[in-house]
Amino acid sequence: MTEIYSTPAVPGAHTPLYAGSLLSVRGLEKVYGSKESLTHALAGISFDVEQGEFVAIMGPSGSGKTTLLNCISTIDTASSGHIYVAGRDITTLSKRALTKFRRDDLGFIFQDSNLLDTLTGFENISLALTIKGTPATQIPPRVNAIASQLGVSDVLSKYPYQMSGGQKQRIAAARAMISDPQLVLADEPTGALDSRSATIMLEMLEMMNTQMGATIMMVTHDAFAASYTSRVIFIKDGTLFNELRRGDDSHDAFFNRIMEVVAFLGGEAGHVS
Amino acid sequence: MYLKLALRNIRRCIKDYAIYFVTLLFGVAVFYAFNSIGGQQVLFDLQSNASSRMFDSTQKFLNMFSGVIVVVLAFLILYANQFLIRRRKKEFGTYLILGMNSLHVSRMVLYETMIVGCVSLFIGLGVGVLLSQALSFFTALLFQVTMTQYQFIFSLDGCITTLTCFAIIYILVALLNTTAINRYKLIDLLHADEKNERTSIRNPIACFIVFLISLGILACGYVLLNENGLVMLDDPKFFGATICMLVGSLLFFWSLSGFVITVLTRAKRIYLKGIRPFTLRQIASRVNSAFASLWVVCVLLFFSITVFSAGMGMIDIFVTNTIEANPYSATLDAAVWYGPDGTIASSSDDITQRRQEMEEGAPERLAQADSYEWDMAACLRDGNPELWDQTVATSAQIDFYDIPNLTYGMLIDQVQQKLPNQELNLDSLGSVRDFRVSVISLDQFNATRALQNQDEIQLNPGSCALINNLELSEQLAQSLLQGEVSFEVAGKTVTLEGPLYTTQLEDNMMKASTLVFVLDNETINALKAEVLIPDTQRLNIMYANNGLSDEENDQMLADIIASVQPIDLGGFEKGAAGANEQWASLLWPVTRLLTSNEMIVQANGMRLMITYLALYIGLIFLVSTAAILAIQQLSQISDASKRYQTLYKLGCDSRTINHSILVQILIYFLLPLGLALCHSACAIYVLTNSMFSAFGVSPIAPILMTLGLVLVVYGGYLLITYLTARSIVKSNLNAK
Repeated sequence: MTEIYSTPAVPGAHTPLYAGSLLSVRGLEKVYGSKESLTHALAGISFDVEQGEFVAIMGPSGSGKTTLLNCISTIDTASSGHIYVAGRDITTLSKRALTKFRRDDLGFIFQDSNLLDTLTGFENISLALTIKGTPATQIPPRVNAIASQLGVSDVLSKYPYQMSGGQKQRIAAARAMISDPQLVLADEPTGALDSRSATIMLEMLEMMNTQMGATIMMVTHDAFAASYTSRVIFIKDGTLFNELRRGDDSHDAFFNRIMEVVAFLGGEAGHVS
Repeated sequence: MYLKLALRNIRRCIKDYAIYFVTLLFGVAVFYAFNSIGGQQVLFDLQSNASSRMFDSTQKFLNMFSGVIVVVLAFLILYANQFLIRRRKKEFGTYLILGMNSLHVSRMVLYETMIVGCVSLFIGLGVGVLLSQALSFFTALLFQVTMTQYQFIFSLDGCITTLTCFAIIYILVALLNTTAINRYKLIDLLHADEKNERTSIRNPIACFIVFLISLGILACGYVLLNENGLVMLDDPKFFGATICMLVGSLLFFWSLSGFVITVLTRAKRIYLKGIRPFTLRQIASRVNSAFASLWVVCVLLFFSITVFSAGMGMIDIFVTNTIEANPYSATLDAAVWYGPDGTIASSSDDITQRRQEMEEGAPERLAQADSYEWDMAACLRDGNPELWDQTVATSAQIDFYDIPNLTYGMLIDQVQQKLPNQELNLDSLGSVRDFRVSVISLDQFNATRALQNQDEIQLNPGSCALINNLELSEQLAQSLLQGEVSFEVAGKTVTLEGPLYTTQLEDNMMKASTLVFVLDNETINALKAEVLIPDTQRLNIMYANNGLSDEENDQMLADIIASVQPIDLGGFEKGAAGANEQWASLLWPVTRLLTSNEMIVQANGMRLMITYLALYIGLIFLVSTAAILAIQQLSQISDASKRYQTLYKLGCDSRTINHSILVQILIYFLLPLGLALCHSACAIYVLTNSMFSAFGVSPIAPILMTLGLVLVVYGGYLLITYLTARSIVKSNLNAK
């Protein structure tokens, strides 16, 4: 804990990298539009995520959450600024290296699970390995192992349309985890789930973080989902707005603290409009 | 407003479905071009009625097949259109939600269909007119005529046919579209692209059994086809083969995906590599639902390939030997008693009785022949001596005699005894065993050879010679020579001695001298005393070098015949009557007249007709199938673009994705082509055995030509489909 508290709350664009930091974003900007009407989706945001952290990114719609996620996941390119993952600047990578980076170092969990509907659960999970060229003999034991850890062993032979929303998300989580990525990015993973499935999903993410040692960065607008993380970063208008650490708080206490910030953000947004 | 919307929709669609519009244009253009061939006549200085008759019958045949072509094109257009409409469900849903009623939407779609129809029709017609100009040069080449004077040709008939046919197709399309739109429910329209693709899972063991059954049915069809020989098309075996082919192919496609996917998923070592699971599932999920269209494509491809290669082979049959088969200016046949088409056969089987029968049946002819001592040339010259001398330089007559009580079967038995292991190729010779042995005299043979500037031959005492140049009986002729057969004729035994002579004894479509024996003059005279009248007679003529064209000489020859046997001459008629209206076809002196000029014109006409038919059917079918596959693949790949996006996010590089697309497209294009090629290979094998080999035509050239056509057209569509699909996916990967 002391280690975490020693991190400055707001690093600047030129703040040097920390040894323990897995993800460092420095002065990230993303500008859309033409000369006449520029939109700064990201206006020079900087922050760090430590190895083994479970971080939530929150913010009202239009705050730049998704743009940030797309930039980190290298699906989109930043206009300026740098993103370092394990000390490597991914904004300067070639297209080929980016593909390799996504394949080897990142795991994705999307809002709508994004399972391939023509493939079974087993095949969806194994795809993350086959793309990497993992030998075929290693694949079935690894898929079975992760499936039993995430409680989806019984749906492996089913097609996505035969699964519930929660099962789909857990298969997606298994797909994200199986290749032992450095960083798991989750984009509103509970967005399409009912509250019960959402709770199971969040507990699973927590378990992935604490027991399997995954570093997870989750984008969400749901304070309840955010309360499962160890730190919440609030962004607004493309910049860092606030940051909350859970410390030793219970879920409920952390949830209440998050809600205060959300209420403040929402109130101010209402005031501005 | 609806018109404006319709126009905008079209502009948007044209980019996506360029391949469909191009195919439409192509269809219209080719349809017009082939339906306007009759109009090309004006370009050529067609000297004879025969030439223009060939043109007319070519056009008639093409028009006949246009019916089939229209059905295929209608299928293509309806299928493609149904695809386009289905893909726009969500758009229609939006219109309905915005407050348009389904009538409005229907009207908008109707405008779209009409605009696309009119544009494609008019541009297509324009292209067609240009194409038909190019085609006329090709016609000149095929018909071996010189274009006297080039002029721009436009066929009103062809234009009207094209407009009518396509107007009907488009009206049909418009009707189907509007009813389809009226039937949709709003909820289905809005959620059209959210529907889960349900991969119906079939029992793999059942599929495997069905697959084996389908192979069995196909094999059965191949056997039936082989027995039928593809010559008799109204044979129940042919129907059986057709049904086996259709049913077998359908079951083949239905069952294939069901078990192949199961087998492959079990073989984890092969299966779990790269994005193979994805690619395979992608293919399999569609084979499950697309087996019917694969089947149609396979059948059309088979038809296209077979028609084209068979057509190209037929041209060889008709055309290769035309010049060699027509060494004389003209050939005049006298049927004597047996007509060439055998309408009235001799009542008794004893040929020594034929003079008796002729005396009763056709006394005038017998009297006339006797009075000229069976000399056809003398009789004809008497009709118009001046014209005869002016027209005919030289002539040579051949009298064909049958030997009583000696059939080819007896000679074959001799050979089979002496050379038991000899392959005689008797199957394709029909009832040759029952035919009486045909002989001519050495003098007449030498005279005929002299017409062709061939040297005189001699016969050793007690020997005879054999003439044959028909490919079909070549093997048998060689065997007869090898077996040194001997037979008795008019109380004297003669033995066959080589070499084999290949002199063509008449003008004909093909080399037609068939197992004719040459005997010395005394033996023939002895035979003549026995059978009294010849079996048939043939007078071969060489025209004089009188500065007139072949066409004019043909006419003068006809005039001479008409002077001897005017059209109103009564008496016993028999033979190829009605083939020429200028003179009456009689048993003697002239039953039938064939001129070299006419035969060559006919052969060229045949070549024209078959080439155009094969090209027309082959091209349209090939393009239609390729277009169906292309449209299907493109829309399916663009439907699945979200999946490619997911793959991309998971870290799949675009090369792997492109490879997967290529594999999918290749399998979808090559699967039906593969089965169709198997069917065609069988059909061509059968045709080669039953027909081509008999005429000495090698199937290699037609096969290569067909493969070239398939490679260019089908391969071209495949390539364009792949490139378009790649760019669709690529643009989707870059867009988020």
